[in-house]
Amino acid sequence: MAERPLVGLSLMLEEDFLSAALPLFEAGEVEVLEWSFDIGWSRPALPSWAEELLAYYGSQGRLLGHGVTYSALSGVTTPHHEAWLNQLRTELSRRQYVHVSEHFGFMTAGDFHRSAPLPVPLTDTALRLGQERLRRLRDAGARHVGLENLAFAFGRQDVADQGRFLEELLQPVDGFLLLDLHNLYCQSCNFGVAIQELMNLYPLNCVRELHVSGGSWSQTSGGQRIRRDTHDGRVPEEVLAAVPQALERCPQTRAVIFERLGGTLSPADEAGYREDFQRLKAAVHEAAHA
Amino acid sequence: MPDDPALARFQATLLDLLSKGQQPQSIIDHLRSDRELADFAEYVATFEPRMLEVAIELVAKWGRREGGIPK
Repeated sequence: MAERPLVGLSLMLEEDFLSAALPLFEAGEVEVLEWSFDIGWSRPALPSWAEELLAYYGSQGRLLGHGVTYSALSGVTTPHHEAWLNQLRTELSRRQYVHVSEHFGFMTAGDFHRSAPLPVPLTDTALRLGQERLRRLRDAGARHVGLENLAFAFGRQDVADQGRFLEELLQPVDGFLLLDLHNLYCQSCNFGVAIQELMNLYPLNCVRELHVSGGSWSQTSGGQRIRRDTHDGRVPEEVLAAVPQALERCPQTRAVIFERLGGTLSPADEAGYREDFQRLKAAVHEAAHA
Repeated sequence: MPDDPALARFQATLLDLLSKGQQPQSIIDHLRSDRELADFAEYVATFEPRMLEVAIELVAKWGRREGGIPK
């Protein structure tokens, strides 16, 4: 590894996040901050404490941008895409981001202007479309652009193709892969493939950032358990165990971000949230000194 | 921009079907029998009903339509 990756948090605007994370910020434990900027666009203003954090981490060159709603693989370009890119230009003129990432998949189509990100079949036209969308993202002013692997898959073909799809999407813009380990864990649980085997499918030399989070289980009508990337629970041991392995295999990783959805932390959860962060940090330190 | 109208039609139909909360197998059957979506029939054949159940939940939770009432 070139240098130890920074370990930080995904910023949420809810008060429960602030309550749980404030001791970590105050102790100087949070080395890097990630902000899903398009979540903030629909609000008249951000809380002053969030603005202060964004300004501070931006000024330190430790602020990462992570879009949610661009919909890089929608079949057609709509006014939504143009409006999103215009807002991104404004965002990039206001704050200094080290890099900007988005999600693999699509979430707008027909009269749906938003949904959950869903996978897309790997075809030549879908690939060219996604490559062009990433070029536009870069041309909007993002210095480095990347995509995050998706947790959800309709079936095994999505699982098998996503790594190659991402590699070919990222190649023309020299983009980076944001490897979400909990998303790999979801596919591992749901399709019976080991996390390490799944990693083999991805362009690990392109990884600049890792995501780590918890999630939940749901049960289908047939009684099958499905792992979900809901960001509302403790980090599973299997995901923490995958961190050193991932860092060893992804030597260009610059940042490791712990995600937890705002509004999901009760006062009783706060200590566990901080413990997960500290354990993650210890795993990253351990990997750096291995 | 090299738009892909066939992919767009597939995605719109898929989201619409998921939002209606139909049975997973009937969604698969619909997608596979729609002649306009013939290019995607092989892909749809790889869909697993248990994962479609999850997709239905995801769209119910996060889906927003133009002119729709915010959830």
